[in-house]
Amino acid sequence: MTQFAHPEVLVDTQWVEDHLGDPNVRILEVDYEPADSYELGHIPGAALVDWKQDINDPVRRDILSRADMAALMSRVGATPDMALVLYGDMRNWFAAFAFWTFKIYGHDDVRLMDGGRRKWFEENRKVTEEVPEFPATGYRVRGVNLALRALYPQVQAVLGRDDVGLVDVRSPAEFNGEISAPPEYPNEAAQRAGHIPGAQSIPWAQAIADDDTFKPVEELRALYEPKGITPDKTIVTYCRIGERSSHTWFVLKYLIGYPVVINYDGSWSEWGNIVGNPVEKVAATT
Amino acid sequence: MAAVQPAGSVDLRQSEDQCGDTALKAVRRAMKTLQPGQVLEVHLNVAEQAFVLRAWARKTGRAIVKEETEGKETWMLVEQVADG
Repeated sequence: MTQFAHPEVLVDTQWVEDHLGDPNVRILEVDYEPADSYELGHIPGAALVDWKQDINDPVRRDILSRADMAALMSRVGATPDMALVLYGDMRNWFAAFAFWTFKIYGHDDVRLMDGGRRKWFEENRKVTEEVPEFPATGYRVRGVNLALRALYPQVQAVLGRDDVGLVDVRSPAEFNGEISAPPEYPNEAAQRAGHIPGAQSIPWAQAIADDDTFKPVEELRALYEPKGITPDKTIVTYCRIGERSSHTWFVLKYLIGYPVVINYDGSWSEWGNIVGNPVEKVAATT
Repeated sequence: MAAVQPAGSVDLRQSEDQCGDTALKAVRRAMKTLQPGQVLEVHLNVAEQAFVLRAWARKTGRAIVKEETEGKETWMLVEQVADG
């Protein structure tokens, strides 16, 4: 079996268990709903990162600022040289989003725990409700890499270009235009349903096995290449709010190793709301 | 003794491809439609979800009046409480 392009960014549950208490490793549980996850039980020593409060700007729609990144890292006792190991609820989507965000803010050693929270619990490993406390570190952000992020004007500018591949990782119902968001998330709905013209539908979950771990790299390549998502192109991933697409961004950039992969976190909740934007739909077959 | 008849049912054995509710959110929503003493039937096949439901029931004073597991599939009956 061929190794992932960047195997250093992925650790398994046993590695995490072996490094509980390692002073050079900070384990972070990244949750969309901490009250439904972290607060009921988490990996011993793991600090909570609340996606809504910690990874997002509190007022405007944006990721956290550089100053907020420094404050967050300081709060969880992280230093720039530390390995940050991320896992979380909702199939690791928000952990992947945090991974992407921490890479934007230049943290060198960020890793995902393969299989996420589900696998840790499935293996009946130790969990706790105890919340760890760490001394503040005065973390300083070393640099900012905005090349990992696609903003709306950039996506609009590359429509129709054959050297750019757009990957829509949402469910088929969302891609086809049957729904713009599930009914329980009305604040993520868009005025129009469908997809960005030219996008390929490759739902995020096709990259993982039944136990939520990533599939072997050969299977991953076979998932993307036949649909024209190839390493010679600039690849843009998107979903509804940018979290599932972070998962696919991680797969393409670090596991398969495509040179240029960019996450469009504005995603459908931005694209589908803009007046005059081009939208494609798939006609119902029934 | 008569078998407990569930007043509602939640099936969590579906995928989360659309980024919808957490398992617990779906259960909480369904519990709101129940009267105290009525029970909710929950089907699930993820160990983490089962752990979360047990921990939540314990913390909120709800009883899991019955639980059966076969392979990866778990079936629970969760009783509603007065202030639920």
